[in-house]
Amino acid sequence: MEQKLLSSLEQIFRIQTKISLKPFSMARSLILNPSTSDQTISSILQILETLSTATINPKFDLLNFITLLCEISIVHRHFSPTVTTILRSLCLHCPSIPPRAAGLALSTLVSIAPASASDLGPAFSEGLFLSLCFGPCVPVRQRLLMDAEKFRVRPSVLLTVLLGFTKDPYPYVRKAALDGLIDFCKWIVVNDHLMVEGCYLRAVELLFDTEECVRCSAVHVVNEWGNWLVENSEDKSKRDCSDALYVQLCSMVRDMSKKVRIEAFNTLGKAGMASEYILMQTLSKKVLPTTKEKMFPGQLSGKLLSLPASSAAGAFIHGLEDEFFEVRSSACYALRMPAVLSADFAAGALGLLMDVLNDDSTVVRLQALETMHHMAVFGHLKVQEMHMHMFLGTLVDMNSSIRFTARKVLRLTKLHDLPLFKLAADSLIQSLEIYPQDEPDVLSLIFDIGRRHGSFAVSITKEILSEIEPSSESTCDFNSSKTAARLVLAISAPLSHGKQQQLHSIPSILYSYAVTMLGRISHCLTEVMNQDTLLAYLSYCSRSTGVNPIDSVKMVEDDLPTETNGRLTCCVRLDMVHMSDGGSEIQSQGLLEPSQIAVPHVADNCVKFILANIGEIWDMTKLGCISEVLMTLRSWKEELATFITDSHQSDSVLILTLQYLHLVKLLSKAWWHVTCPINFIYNEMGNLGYILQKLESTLREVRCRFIGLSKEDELHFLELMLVACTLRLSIFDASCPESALTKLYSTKSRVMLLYEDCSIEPSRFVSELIKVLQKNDTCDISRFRESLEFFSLNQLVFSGSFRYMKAEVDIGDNDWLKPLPFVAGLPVDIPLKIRLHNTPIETKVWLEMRMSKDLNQYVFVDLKLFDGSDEIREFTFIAPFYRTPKVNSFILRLSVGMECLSEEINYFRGHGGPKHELVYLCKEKEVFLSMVVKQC
Amino acid sequence: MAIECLVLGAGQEVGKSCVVVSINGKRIMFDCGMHMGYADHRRYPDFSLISKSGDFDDALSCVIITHFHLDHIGALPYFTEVCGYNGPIYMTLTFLQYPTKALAPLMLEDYRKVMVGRGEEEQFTYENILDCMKKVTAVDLKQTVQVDKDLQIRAYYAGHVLGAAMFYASMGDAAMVYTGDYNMTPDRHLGAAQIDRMQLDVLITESTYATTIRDSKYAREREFLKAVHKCVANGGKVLIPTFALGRAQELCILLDDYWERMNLKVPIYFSAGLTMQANLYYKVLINWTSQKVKDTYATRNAFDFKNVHSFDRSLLDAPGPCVLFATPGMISGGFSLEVFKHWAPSEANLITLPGYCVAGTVGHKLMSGKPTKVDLDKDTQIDVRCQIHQLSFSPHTDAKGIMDLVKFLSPKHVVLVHGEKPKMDLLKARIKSELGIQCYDPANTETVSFPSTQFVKADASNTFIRSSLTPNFKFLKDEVKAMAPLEVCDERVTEGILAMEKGQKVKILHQDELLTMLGTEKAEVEFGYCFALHICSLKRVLPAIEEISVFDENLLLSVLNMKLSNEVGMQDRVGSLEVNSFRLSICKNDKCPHRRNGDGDGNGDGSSEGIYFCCNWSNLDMKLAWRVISLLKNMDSGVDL
Repeated sequence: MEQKLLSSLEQIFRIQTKISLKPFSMARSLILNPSTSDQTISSILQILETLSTATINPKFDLLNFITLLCEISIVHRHFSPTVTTILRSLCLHCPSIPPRAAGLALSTLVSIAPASASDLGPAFSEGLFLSLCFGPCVPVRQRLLMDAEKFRVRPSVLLTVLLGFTKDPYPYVRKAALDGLIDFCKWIVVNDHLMVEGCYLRAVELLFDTEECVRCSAVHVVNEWGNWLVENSEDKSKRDCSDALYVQLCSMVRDMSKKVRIEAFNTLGKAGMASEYILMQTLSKKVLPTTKEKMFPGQLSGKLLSLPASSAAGAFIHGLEDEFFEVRSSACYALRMPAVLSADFAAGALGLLMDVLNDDSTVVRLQALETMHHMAVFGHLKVQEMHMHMFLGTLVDMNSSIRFTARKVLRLTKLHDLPLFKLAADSLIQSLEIYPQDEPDVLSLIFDIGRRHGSFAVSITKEILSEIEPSSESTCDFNSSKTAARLVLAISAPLSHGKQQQLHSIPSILYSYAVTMLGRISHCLTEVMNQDTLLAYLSYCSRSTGVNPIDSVKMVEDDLPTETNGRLTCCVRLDMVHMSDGGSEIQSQGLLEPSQIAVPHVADNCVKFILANIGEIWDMTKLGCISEVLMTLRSWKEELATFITDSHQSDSVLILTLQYLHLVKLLSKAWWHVTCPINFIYNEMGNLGYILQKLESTLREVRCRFIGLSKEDELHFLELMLVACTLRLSIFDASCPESALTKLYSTKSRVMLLYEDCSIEPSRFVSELIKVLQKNDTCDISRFRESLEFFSLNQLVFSGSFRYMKAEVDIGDNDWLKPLPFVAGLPVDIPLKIRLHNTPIETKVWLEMRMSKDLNQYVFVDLKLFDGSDEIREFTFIAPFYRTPKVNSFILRLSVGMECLSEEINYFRGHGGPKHELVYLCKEKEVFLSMVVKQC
Repeated sequence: MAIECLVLGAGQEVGKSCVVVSINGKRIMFDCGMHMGYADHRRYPDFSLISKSGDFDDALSCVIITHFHLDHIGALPYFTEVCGYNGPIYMTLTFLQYPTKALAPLMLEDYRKVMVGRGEEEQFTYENILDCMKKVTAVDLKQTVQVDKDLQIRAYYAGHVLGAAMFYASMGDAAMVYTGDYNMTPDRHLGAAQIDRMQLDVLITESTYATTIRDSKYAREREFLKAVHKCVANGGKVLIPTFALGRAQELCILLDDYWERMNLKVPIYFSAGLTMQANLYYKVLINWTSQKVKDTYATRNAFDFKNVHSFDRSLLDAPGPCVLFATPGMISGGFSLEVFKHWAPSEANLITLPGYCVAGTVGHKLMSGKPTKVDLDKDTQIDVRCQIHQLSFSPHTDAKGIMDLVKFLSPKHVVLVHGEKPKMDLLKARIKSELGIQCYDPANTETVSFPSTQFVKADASNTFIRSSLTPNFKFLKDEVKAMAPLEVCDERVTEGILAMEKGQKVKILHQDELLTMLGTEKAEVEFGYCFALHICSLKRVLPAIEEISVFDENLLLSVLNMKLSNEVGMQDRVGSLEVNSFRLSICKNDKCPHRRNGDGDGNGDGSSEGIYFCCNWSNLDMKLAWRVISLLKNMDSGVDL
């Protein structure tokens, strides 16, 4: 059959002068059949080739001819080189080729091998592309514009062409041009600001197009190019620029087309920063006073020349009320970014989201819960009593993924009073009764919230006991999951981070009951502890009475964090094997005042644990799991904070560890921003510059305020400083590369000195960095980036005995009711009691008095004039303030700082003030002053 | 040609909606409603204004009814059967499948019965209603109907109530939209209004809530449920007076869901058979409901209420809590009034009133303040001790919705109807200032007219067509502002030239063709414009004019030039001011061909007090010329000149 077809085909082509459609359809049937042999195909190609050389025949149907070639290249890929040759010769030698055929030929050529078009010479491909685009044939124009980027047209030409065709009368051409512009923004660095603005404004104009597909693409372009404009605008106008973009996108959520609304919310979810007042406006349909008068520049021509900020009014309310679940779901998603930016917004949005939990669509409910989870990760979830009814309802939802997500949110929720806690616990137990299949997750959640809210858990153990006690009339089934849940809640309390003193109140019999359910409970707590540990813990607790069980809970250093379910949990192994019965008695006799001695001991272990494991955290950061890292760091910080008491001496280590955690947090954030700028949501969540600045100042503070750090420790912090500088240098719009470079050089020399002193090899990162600096090619950002790859967080060992500098300032009896008197224009004396801890005599201490942002005055405090030791110095100091303003009353903000001598750069202020940067030793104090009233 | 709107009803009031629009010679009547608050001749629109002779068939091209509420359809049987209109009537789609048409006779018959029950004179009979309905043509959503050769109408979904539609009408090149009542936020049972973006000359929109901005409906629903739950928990009875259709279903879905969630056993009743029958329609007309109802329809019909029973009169004084839906909505009579008489004196009971009640009804009296007694008529007085909960959800859009719709459609003119005068004034001002659209709120029997777009039919030459097919865009840069961004414009149409030769058809030529046609080598197109400036306004701006003799042209011109020098530098020639090709001179020719009279700004009424200035310029200086002209014209208004 194949042969027959082929021979008749050859015949027709040879004989007929006037070619009808018949041979084409025959050839086509041969080509499209995948079982046609290669031989046949090649003979067809041969026929076609001979035909193409004799194309002078005007009747020759080029379009069908090229269609055949195109189909061959698609179905029989290995013939594409031949196809390419034929097509190329056709394009070159046949000037009167009809536009449709030419368009098809060109697209086929570039789709076979993108390089082949350029073989024709770039000018040829470009020329053909342009002439076809500007030709009268609309479908060809649309098709070519749709994959414009393949044609290797010079970017400057392509940009003008695309921009021009946004004005085309055919909507699909407009759409294709806009879609081209979206991509354009990504892969070409445009320098002409006016051009970009022109594109942006043209897209804004097309937001009002009559066709919905054009409006959809326009929303996309406005977002992309608008973001470019925001990034490249001057700092002053940056905020206005991003606000204008946000409002512009918000104004599209009232479009009549569902597609446009979805697109608008999707882009809003990816949008960058916006001012808080705008965000708050999106939650209120009424125009707020803050946005009433605000106008942004709008469109270039037409009626809507300016864009009032009030266009953002109620954007999210409309979205969450929308008729289509797709839109509602997108709106829930779009809430994430602003909820991270502003806590007030998150509080407002939470009210709306709680109502959304009543939605009939599962997708929307799930998305709402996910958004809440997102808020919780960033610490902006503040659940109130009025929300609880709605929220806890989702725990018994029909859909299992909703229940799961609801539990995920609950795990991170802070329940701030007992009724809330009880409500949550009861609902969990109730949901367990309805859905027993959820038991593992529910029990582990109960264990978790019990640990987080230890004191609440303790206060409801009595109830638990009374319900479980077999003596009472309760018909408690010891096999029920309800009982298991209650027991888990009870045994979780001693492991909480909270106040341990109340723990005696847990009846030990509960532990005995829990032992009976050991298998069941340990199955649920596999993420937290293994069965042996649980048994040891339970049996110990059930035997001892009156002893604080927390003493026996010991963290073991070699416990490693395990990753389950994408969630990072730290395994706490409770090592109690060494505690025999007798041993525990002896120990309990020895610990006379457990609250004083036991706590530092536990804290010590905690610090060791953290220091040992922080390296792993760093690996997570490198992998990009930023939210998990932040979560873990936060939980560690919370745990550490519980150990800090009022005594000053013992907690230097704790404070340094806390500061260190803070450093790592900032460093991870900054790292993440620099290395993973793809994800839009997080990308703008905090200004990178701001984070880096904070990181640097914290590093400085650590180095100055802790005296007696060992060289190794100092080296560790210096290396972090190097990382911070490198991070700053490796971002594109580095604001002050000069100063960062200077700092880098100075820090580097100090680091090298220390390495020599300690006689250890420089780390991989440092040596790479030195190489980069030696090449002196500092403008190359990528080099700095490369060196960052080698950085890893080494373990920090607090080897020296260091102390923590600290100041306390007391102003005596002064508040706004009892202000200090002053006379305007005359100096005023402010009597202060200052207590300094761990300040060597050579420390240059300054008192800063700040009245407004730029009006401040420094007074030098000469330590030589006062008595006291390095450990503690206490004295009264009369600080004069000279520039009293002509007002009835004012507030002076005082703080004590020390000059940071190790900083090499002394650009700081001058005349009379400190020469180096100040590091503050205490929190700011407010002094209230009021004009003396003349008495007549 | 022009568009004229004659408002017969609902002008600066709510009730008897009826607007007659003349659009390029065709006349359409939108809605034909009656007023619930009146029993005299004010009840119906004044149809005599349409045609003095009473020959409505010739006067009107068609009647369009947007939905079946009595204030939109109430007068229709009267108009067709009593006044004798026989022309086409359009409503949204036919029996059973087509809501308005199916529901309309129900509504009308209910109303007729109430009227008769009140002992009033019967305006039309049940047969009248049926006859009237026979004349109705049904329209489906987004279906374009060719009323006659030129007139097209199309219906869009309006929310509001089952079967409610907005209507688009176009005649030749003029187009308009009449919204009827609509809702921009979706309900539980109805979707939000949906319309395409089109070029419109006029938008006639309702403005019931011209100033109200409602917050999220979720909060309102929560409050309502709380109030009802509290009442029934304390053993009280809840009366929910509603219009038969729409609100009843909406609230019923809400309550039914809540009942199920909270596991409540208190009975919910529907008063008359009518509402139950309406429920039946709703079950069938699923296509007109919200996306949610449509989505769940496959598994369960949202209108199959589990907890709802029909009410028996004997239950009126039965003990125990219950919830009752009764008609009519504003307690203006009928069964809801009867129930009200029974239940109002008890403190345990609750009455939830709709967001809007027409003045004169019991509902309105209850809403205004907290009355302890309500006079029904001369003899009957009722103690009101029950709780009253005002339920502000309404199937009408709020002010923000109106603004959003107007902004989306961006018509040339907006007419507000179906609202209260003071509030409409505020909305009118907002539309003017915020959107820059002309807005009107005519009273009943008033007419507003607007110019509609004028189109001339012309032939086009082949060259012009060819050049129009190929793209020809250019980039503009504003010369004045150096930092202004690029603007794109497409030149292909502006390259055409309209040629009018005596005795021949109008033709559009490509500019290259012109020379060959004229047979000359060079032709230049020059634009001319002659306008007047009032002496008094000139005097205000140029105090020096007192001294200058009015006829000292050169001096006047040079003073003007000085005034304009900040904006445009012009050269002072003898008798004229010039810049590039633009030339300005004082015109004394009373028959100047470029003269513009009655510019609309009141300046050029042709009185002798003005001085005429004649300008001409070539194509190149188009922008510049209009700039100078507008500067001159606004000279007295612009202080900073």
